[in-house]
Amino acid sequence: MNKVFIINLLNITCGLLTVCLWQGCTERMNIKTDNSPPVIVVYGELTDELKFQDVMLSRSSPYFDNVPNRGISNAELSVHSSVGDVYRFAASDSIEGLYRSVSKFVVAPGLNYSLSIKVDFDNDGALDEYSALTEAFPTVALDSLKIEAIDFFGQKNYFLYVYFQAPSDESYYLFKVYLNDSSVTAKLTDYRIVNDRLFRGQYTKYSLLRLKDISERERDSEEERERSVYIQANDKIEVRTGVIPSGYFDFIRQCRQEQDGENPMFGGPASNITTNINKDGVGYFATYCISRKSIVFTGSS
Amino acid sequence: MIYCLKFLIALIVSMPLYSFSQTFTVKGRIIDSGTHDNLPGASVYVVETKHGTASDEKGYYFLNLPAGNYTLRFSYVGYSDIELKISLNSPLVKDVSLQADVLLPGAVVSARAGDYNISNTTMGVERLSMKEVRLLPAIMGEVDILKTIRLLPGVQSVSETSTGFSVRGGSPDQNLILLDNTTVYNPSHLVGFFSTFNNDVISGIELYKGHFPSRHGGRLSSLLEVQTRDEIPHRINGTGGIGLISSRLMAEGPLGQKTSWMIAARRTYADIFLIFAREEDMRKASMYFYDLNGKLTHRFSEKDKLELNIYNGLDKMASAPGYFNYGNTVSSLTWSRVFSANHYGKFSIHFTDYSYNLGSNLNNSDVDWKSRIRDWAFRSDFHRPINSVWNLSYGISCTHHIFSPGEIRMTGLNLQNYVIPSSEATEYGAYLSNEQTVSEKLSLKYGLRFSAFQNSGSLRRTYTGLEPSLGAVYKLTPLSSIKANCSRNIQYLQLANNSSAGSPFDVWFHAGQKVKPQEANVFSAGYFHNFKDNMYETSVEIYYKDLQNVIDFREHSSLLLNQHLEDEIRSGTGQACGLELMVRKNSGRFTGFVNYTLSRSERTIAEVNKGKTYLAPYDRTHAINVVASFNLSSKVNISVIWVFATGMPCSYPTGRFAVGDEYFPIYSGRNEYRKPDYHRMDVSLNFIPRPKSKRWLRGEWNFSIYNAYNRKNPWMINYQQDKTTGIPYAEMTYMFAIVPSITYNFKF
Repeated sequence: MNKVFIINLLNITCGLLTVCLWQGCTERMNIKTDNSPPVIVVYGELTDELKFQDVMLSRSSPYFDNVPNRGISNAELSVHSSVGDVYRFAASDSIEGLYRSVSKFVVAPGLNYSLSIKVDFDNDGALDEYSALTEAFPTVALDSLKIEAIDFFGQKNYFLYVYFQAPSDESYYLFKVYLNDSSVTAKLTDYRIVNDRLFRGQYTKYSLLRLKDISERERDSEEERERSVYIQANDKIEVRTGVIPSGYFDFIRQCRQEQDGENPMFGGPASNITTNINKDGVGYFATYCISRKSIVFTGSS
Repeated sequence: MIYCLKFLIALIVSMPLYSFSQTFTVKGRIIDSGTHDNLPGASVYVVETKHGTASDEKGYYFLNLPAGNYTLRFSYVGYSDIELKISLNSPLVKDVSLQADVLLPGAVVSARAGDYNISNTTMGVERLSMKEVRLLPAIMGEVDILKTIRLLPGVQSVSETSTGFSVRGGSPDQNLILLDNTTVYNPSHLVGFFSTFNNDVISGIELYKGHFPSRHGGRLSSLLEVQTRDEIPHRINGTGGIGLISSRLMAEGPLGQKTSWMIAARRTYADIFLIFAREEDMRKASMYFYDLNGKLTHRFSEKDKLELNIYNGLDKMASAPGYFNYGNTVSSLTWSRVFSANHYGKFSIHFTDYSYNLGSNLNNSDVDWKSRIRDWAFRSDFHRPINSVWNLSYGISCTHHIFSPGEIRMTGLNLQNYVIPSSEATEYGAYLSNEQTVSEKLSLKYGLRFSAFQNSGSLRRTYTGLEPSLGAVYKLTPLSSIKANCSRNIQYLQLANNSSAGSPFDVWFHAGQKVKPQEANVFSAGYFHNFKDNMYETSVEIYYKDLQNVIDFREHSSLLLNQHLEDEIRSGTGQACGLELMVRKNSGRFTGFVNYTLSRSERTIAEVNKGKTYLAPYDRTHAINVVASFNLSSKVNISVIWVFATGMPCSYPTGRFAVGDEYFPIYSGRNEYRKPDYHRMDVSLNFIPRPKSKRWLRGEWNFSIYNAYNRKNPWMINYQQDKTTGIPYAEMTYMFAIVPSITYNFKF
């Protein structure tokens, strides 16, 4: 089922329940666990935009470790397309673990891409090899965007809708939103994803993001401000979308579910996030093609 | 299990070898003389033969005795004994009213006959009367009957906020919960804070922890029978209570000579205070639940009785733009017929409906999501107590299930409706069981249930199964016995819900092409010893459960609105074993019990936890319950509860990986760790201003403190990143600190 759609609906329900039920209290606690051995972490999103493409390599660490995770800088990394193209990547001098393609390139729809990594991960003097395979799907053209005003629990809010003709094949969509060319969905857990089970093959109006009127900012708490997007007249809102592999959709969905730990009422048992990195690796290597659409907010619905 | 079946067949074949003498039936009903409450499990002891029996869940008893003169002693803990002399030369009906002990209003801790635990052949049966339940500490003004049974050995809570319970390591959907023989699929209000059972309507509960009476089946772990009041009021009377967040009222009375009625209602009223909210949306919000119970009984004659039971409950929460409703409707119509002095039967039809519905209305875009399960059932049950060898029960049942897993209706969104097709299935059962007194010391209870299950549709599949049961009790002395039970249970329905706290978003699904019925072979044995004329009870029970086709769900499963739910199911094997110790003091100013459970419950499923055996979600190694009640005077009673349980199994993150500035967990194996241990103390004071008052309205106060020493038991453990350093830390959410409450209960 359209998990994100359900989550949106559940969010409304959970909000109701939270208001209605006893307000629990929270406090920090100490948990002692064994530490799992470090594994390689790979994350890369290659797109059909002509640019230097990036892949990030790092090590996992004990969950409650007090130092940030370290990048891996001594790897050989390349991407191979299903038509024989090879793209080399080089380690960045400034950011540990960042690998940037040595030349600009684009991924092409319909091709498969494999990632190859060679690194002495366990420092035993021998190279360990990791790989990942993904596919680039054609994107879907966005028809238009619309911003509609709503009264949301007494606040002046807006919904950002995207309109598009959904293809008849099973598809999984990724949306990223930019406000005045600055991403408001920069974090992985802010990515908007949806599968097409509810609208496969249909002309679709999809509610993408709730925005707040700038006038509400003063009234909101600091915590609320951090997680809200405020707009005012003449703001430019751009949506970039792509059709992504189902595995990448699952990865993003699971990252959102698992990041905060358990949800006793609406979640299942804690489970590891799936990956397309082989061996013991974690993370995801994905490719997709992008289409864009933008709108200027006029200040009225 | 095969040996169990062979033994059963051998017993049935050998029964005709017994010789019969001229015997007559003595039967009747045992009730409280004041309230007319049934007294289930009351003792009927024949002084001359040193044999006896106990009343059933409705307070009825049956005895078969050779012709002659006898003295019957009727007893019930907390009540004065009555002795009756009878001359038996024909079948006899003898109803008895026992007088509650006025000086010890809180003396009843065990709702059973004094030696019930010694003589009853079925193990793992727990009974609670409302009298003892009402004395326990309340939370938010309500003593919840489903939360009370967690105090019994082998019964664990699923979560502090849930009415769900786990019996001997089983999952909540392995419990069959019946309200007057009708299934209640989700017995919760406020997502689990309260149960659907209004205390004023309930006469008692009976919990079978694995060995069910043959008349019921369809679940692996337990049977919980909740009985509504079955009194014959001589005038209009009632009970009620006014609490901090809810109030309730029950009234009952006669309607002519042959008809009686009962109605009851309960409602929360926290939403009344919303009118004082600053925001208009909140002022318009709804937030309440209610229960309505009704019962109509008509006695056509001494032999025929017709009962209509209706229950309806609903939780309603709405605040623009969203709403959420869920509730049960449960009803039954039962015709009871006495065919002869030793042959009576019941014919009943049952209907149950659980549904939930949520949605939103934003900018003329409506979304409405519904899910539902309905049952229509028919059953007929017969009881034929002929003599000490043949005390037969037999019957048939048929339940038709209609599953509507979910549909979403949408308008204004350019989206088509999403409907998961409904499915239907029928479950059949036929049983025969016998309770046999082999000798003064040895009694047996054995039965066989045949069950069949068939789902409809193109993927039709039929399953059948035999569910034998055998129980034996050997009295070592009048105050001690050893018992052994074995049985086989089959479950054809299961709940698609893997949340640890339970939720109203229940989707039940049935066995089918890919999902085989779950099966359990249950074995238990125990030693029971009473002291001081049954004032003290002690027992040691051990059990072992072998589970086949037990289900779990694939990791990150999607259980809601999933057309292909069967693909999310993973099945395997499981086992559970345990030791349960109980010490109980039944009478005197100081009463109560202490029980301890040592247990383990495991699952092995190929595609979960990489195929390695893992702890079942509700495994608790140690559990201790202490319940103490002390009568300071005829006006004041103090009760204290202390509970302890090993923390629930869970998976903790043992590693983390980063994407951008965000960290994500790498978990340990499934349920490799445990949450902190759970413990809590509740205290209550019951005050009856005028215990001997003859006024038409008599009241009493209940002052309770839940979690008296403010234990912070984690309900949820989350992981956050420190805003400054970005380093993750664990944070627990606890639902309750100290919760005081006050309730005024009354009767008229």
